[in-house]
Amino acid sequence: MKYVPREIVDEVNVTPVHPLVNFGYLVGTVVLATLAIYVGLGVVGAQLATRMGPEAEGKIGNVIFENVFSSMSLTTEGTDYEYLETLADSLKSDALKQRPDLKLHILEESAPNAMVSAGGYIYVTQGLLDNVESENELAFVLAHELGHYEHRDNLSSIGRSLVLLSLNSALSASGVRLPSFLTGSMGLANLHYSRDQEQKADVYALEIMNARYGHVDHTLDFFKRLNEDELDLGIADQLLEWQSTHPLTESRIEYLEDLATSRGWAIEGAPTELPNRQ
Amino acid sequence: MDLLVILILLGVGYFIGNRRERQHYADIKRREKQTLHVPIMSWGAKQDLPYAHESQMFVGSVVVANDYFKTFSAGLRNLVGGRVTVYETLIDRGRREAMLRLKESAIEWGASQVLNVRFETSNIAGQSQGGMGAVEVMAYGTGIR
Ligand SMILES: [Zn+2]
Repeated sequence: MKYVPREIVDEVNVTPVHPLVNFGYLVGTVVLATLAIYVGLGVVGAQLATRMGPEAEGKIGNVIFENVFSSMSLTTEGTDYEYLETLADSLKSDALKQRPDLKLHILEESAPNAMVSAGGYIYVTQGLLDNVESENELAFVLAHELGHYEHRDNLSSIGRSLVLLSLNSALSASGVRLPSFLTGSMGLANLHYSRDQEQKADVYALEIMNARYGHVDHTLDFFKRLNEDELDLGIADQLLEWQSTHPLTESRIEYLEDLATSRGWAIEGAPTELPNRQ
Repeated sequence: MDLLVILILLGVGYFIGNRRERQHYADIKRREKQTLHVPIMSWGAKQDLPYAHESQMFVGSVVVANDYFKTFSAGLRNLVGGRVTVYETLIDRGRREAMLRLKESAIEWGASQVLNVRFETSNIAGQSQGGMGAVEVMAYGTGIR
């Protein structure tokens, strides 16, 4: 057989697609998929936050505690702690009794603050304990946090992470683990609430205050003091920190005072003293 | 800022990489035409090789580097799966260039045919995380005259 050289004309090994078209298709697909997942997670997260059972909530709370808070300096003993724990437990509404038990921690932190995380984890800073002047003030702050807890604000605020965390705890039984960047501390400490959520928590707290003390006097003193001290630079820092998580502005104080009047709650009353502390 | 750097790298990768690729293909096609008269033959183990006075081993090898645009496209392709078309041209250029270098050195020596050509590829990467790298394609065969 005679060899007849023939030129290669067709490029069978190269797919005839322009690299930019290919690139555009890829970027488009990935962006769309990411968007769909993001939106989907948001929707599922919001649904989960309102429907999650106490057991699942407890598990998620433990994971968040391990990831975010367990490395901070926490106190869970002492007379202050026992007093706080009893106080917090007495502020639970009936609905909260169906939810995971409160797990109180005192944070060694000088800025006054308090927060509640999923699963009933409540954190109160030492700064708050040092700054309150009556039990009413402290009880209002605690009750406000319990309000967030009852309304599941702390669950909805972590939204998308909640889905991944639930998935992870569901899968861990079968030995499958999600990559840690999905379940890491990303957004788990996100405890920013909307104005509406804050207001509902305030109303919860004030109702409890009225039921417990028979009046709502002195409950807001702590915030009024913070607001007055705004110009004092030392406190301004702490105030900023407080307001970044819980802005209790003039308008919210006014709203609460109007609420108390309209519901016929006693505006005046004697403060309940804090137990003697060293 | 990071995005800007990525965009610049993508632009450089695309425009320069694409230009060089087109030049390379033009060059490959020209040289393929020039070397067309020497056939590449493959023979089975039990077939007799054609009669030859002399034979010699020839090796053609080339290293083709990846560009950022290709790496990025391939990275995205990794997420969705399917043909990595950006690498098809890279590997294709590598194979054809290696074959051309083999043939050209065989023709210089005066070969009438090149027998049983084999290809080897190896990855020259690993210096940096992220897959920027190059591929080596080597072709070897026996030239006879
Ligand atoms: Zn709040």
